[in-house]
Amino acid sequence: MADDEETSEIQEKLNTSDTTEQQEPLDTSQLDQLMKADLEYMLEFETQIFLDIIHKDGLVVAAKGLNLDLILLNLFKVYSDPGNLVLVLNTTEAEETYYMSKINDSNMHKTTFNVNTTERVDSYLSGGVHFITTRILVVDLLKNRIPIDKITGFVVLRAHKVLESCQEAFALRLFRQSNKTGFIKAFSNSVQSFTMGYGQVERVMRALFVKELYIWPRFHSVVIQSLKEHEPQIIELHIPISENMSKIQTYILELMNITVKELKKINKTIELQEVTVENCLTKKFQKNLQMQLDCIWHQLSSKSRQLVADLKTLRHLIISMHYADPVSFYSTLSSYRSMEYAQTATWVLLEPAEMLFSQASSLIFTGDKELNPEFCPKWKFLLDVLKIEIPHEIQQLKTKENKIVILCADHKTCYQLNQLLTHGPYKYMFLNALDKKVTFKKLGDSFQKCGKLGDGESAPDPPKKAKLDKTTNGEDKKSEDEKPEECEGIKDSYVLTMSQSSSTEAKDEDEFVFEPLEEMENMNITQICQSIAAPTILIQTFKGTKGSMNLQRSLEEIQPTFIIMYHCNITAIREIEMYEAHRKPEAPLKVYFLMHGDTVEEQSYLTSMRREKEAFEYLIQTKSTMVVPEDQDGKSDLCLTLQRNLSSPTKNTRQGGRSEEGGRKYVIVDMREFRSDLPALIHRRGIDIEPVTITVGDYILTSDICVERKSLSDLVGSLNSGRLYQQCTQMFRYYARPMLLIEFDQNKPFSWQNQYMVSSDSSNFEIQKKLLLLTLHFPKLKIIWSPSPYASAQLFEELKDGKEEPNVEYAMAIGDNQDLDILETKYNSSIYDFVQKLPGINSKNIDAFLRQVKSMDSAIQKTEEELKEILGNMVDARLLYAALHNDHNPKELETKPKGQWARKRFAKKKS
Amino acid sequence: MLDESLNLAAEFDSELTPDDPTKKDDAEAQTSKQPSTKTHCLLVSPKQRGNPLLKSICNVPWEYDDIVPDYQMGKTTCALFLSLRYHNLNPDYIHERLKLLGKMYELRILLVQVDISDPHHILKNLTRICILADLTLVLAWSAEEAGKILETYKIYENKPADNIMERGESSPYIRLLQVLTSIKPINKTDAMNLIAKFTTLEGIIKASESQLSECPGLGPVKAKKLYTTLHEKFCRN
Repeated sequence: MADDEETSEIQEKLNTSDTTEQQEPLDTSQLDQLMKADLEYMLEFETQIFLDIIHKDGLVVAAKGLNLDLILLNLFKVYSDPGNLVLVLNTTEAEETYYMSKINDSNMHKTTFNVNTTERVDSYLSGGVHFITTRILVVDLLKNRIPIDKITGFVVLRAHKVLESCQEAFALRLFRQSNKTGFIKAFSNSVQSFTMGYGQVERVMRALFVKELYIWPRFHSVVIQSLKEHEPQIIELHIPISENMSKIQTYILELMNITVKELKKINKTIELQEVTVENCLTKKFQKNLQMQLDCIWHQLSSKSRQLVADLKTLRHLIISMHYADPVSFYSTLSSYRSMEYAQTATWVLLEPAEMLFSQASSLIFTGDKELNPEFCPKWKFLLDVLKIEIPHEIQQLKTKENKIVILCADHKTCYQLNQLLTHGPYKYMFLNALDKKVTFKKLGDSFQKCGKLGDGESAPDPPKKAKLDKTTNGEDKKSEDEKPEECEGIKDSYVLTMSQSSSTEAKDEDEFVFEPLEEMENMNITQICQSIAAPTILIQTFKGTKGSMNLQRSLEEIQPTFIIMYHCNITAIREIEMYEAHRKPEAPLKVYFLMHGDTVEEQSYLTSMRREKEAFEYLIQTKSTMVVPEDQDGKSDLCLTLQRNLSSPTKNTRQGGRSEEGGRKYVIVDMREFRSDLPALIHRRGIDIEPVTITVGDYILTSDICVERKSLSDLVGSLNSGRLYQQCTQMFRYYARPMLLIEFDQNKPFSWQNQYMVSSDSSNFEIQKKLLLLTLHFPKLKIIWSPSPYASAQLFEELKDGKEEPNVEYAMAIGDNQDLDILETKYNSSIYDFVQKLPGINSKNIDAFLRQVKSMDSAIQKTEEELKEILGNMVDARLLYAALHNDHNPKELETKPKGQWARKRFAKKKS
Repeated sequence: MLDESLNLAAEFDSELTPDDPTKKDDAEAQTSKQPSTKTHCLLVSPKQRGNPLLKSICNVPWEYDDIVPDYQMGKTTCALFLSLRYHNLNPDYIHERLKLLGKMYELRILLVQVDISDPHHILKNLTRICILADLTLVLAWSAEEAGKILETYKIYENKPADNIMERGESSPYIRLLQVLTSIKPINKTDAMNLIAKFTTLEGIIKASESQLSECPGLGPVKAKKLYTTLHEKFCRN
């Protein structure tokens, strides 16, 4: 669409950079493998990406919506063979199930925490393609459970995330260190993430050990060509917004403008070029601004922080004006009109805000608080399209199964449209007003009529509808009367049928009746469509239906004849294009666009498109000037990134002479610590990692140094909960020199303040006070203040220097005699943590409780007696029962001491 | 700020240089001397005269006394004060002081005021010194904070550890908050809102995912996580 207006210059650059690469002929074994892939179904550009990546390792960056799953699928098909061992990182669950179901082969494996160690080893040895959780992989690589030299290669999805957490990079480094032949192929659909930060692309490529960068924007000539052949037929409906709405929009924009100016005025020294009203409207803005301000956040005045928060609020308002219905918008807006809010946020007191409030109330009230809300302008068009255009088309085409997909941005809108279509606009607004507790004196004229009509109808109607459905479906259906309670639920998607109503009492305008299909979740969509002759309407978000990985796939499943885009989104549009191009239809798909012309909605769509284009231009520019070292792929021994900072050889030999292990330096690391970056960084410094589940300490550096690592937020939590005190007691019991490592976030300033920006200084000092108290009680506890994991790793190395290595058996043996490793594999850890905290549950009875009760659902069914049986003692049972079933309210805090007093006094009297 | 610490530096110098010949004898005399037995107030070495942190000690009495460390907060607690800027200029100063201190006191604090922009390298070295010399490193980012820290040590001198130990008996409401916040994305505010909306834990467990997501502050993502965690089977298959 608008993507097509490409800059020819870039196009040229892009094409030349691709053609300079001379394609070497593939060797025969590769050709054999290629036979497995079905290239026919792929579009031209997909084929090219596929061949590129098969031929040479690299990083593929494609535009949003140009889904790479088909390429990946074929890639997996190629490698799905017992002779290969391919590891796939960063997949989502939906993707895994999709690929597994598509390939359906015993060579596809899925490895998560649920698979135990021996099974894992077996499955690695049997080869094939493995979808694996990175944290497990790292541990298995370190423990040599995977034959590293036998690994055929890695496929990394969402490659832009590689730097965020070190885990993937660590796994790849471990792999490259001992395997010089395997491949690494990486994919990403998020071009914008590569433009943040300095040299991001280069750093990602270095971390991935790839030398090639393949860029596939939407304006790439091959992409344009392959999508052009079969384009969907697009009908754009530019819908003007009502006068009231456009005024409201102006006021909000004005408020944003004032806020932005104010922010710039009081922060003259900070680079705030990015902060413009236009940018405020994009989704990423908040994230970007936060990132930019993070390092100086504690230096900002509280007013500037409030202004940043205000911008967010205003953005939310402008979006809800466009997306939500007027009644919801009004109620959202009114929630900001309170004394308390005005004390913190200044925008509410500005002049445009006053006008905004009055304008908003005229949106839904006429005269003296008479409820007469306007409708969303899109509703009329939507109903027109559904009731007039589409039936007309259907008659012309004479197709049998007609499926209409309505796409919108969020669940709330899905819900809104569902309610709208089932109840009609008047009744929906009325119900919504009641629901949101909007106060009004009387109903508007048209509403009175329709409200009554709606109310009157709703009583006799439901059974009729149900009957109607029964005749068409022949299936049991939940009675309509249950619906009102349930309709609050916001679901992912809705299915409606549109049938010509035969009831005579309905007026002409209600020619069509939209009926909800509740049982859709148990049914296949195609089944539904076969059973019903009338056109089916599906209301969905851009993300597609639940369980499918993206919109393109869910479209393939549904095969709609019409699509109505209720909101705009580039990704969704491209996915529709992709779907259409793959389908190669005779009759093109019809897509209706409902868009408010000349509004923020259109603007934010255009902005996001422009930003993506700029990001690609930047990437293409970077690629043309990028210097890639010959050894970046890590296949030769010279690769710099692979070199670990080993201590000088003379030192090594000396150590080798002393200890039998040949000077192997290692640190014992608790299994749970693999969530942090530190193990990877320690390993990089030339110290081996010994992953073990230990209960005392996180890192054991030498035979007597034991370190408990706390990030700042952990520190606060564990000081408050008392865990840290307990951990220190434990460490002192077993180690001579316990240490507390306080690790600050490297992206934030090295100080206390920034973490607690909302709290006042006094409460901030509370934590330090507790830390001081801790030192008073553990005078020999050493505190290490580290600004980043990098610094921690460096210090660890220095602390280890020349000291005796730690003892793995000792570390494993101490602590509770309960083996945590067993515990963790036996029970689901998140619910285990939850149960552990419940009153009445302690280390003695938790095992029995978990084994006998099975789940929280059954725990709440148990009587006090039954709990006593399980927990073995009345006191605990009573505590637990009370915690589950008693009312809790915060006032208890103040009243409780009194109550206790009274009870005590009472007890005394009694005695 | 700059002037102040330069003054401070000058003072340290003046303290150290003229006394130099006599210092050794002094040191010997002092190491044999036991920590001062005065306990009613915070003791400050005269060496610290003029240190701006003294101004912010206002909740406990303090007086100058002839002690080896800079501050004595209790019978077994002492502190040495070091400004990083000063340490940069006189890296040997702290070694001298440590030699003097020997093995006295049980809790030995090295109170470091971070007053330079890039403290990481120096801090790393100080951390190593602390580990070798058996000191506890405590950082302060301003003179006021440093003063407050010393003050707190004096106030907490005989305080039991109850405050930082696991509280067995707290109000059931707080306990419930703790229980709920043990589920990853749920923070304290969310937990309070949840309890306010559903009143009992039973209510929260019985609530549907969409009902949960309507609780203020809980988006669909958090609601989903909460819901799946609560309804997870305890045992893995």
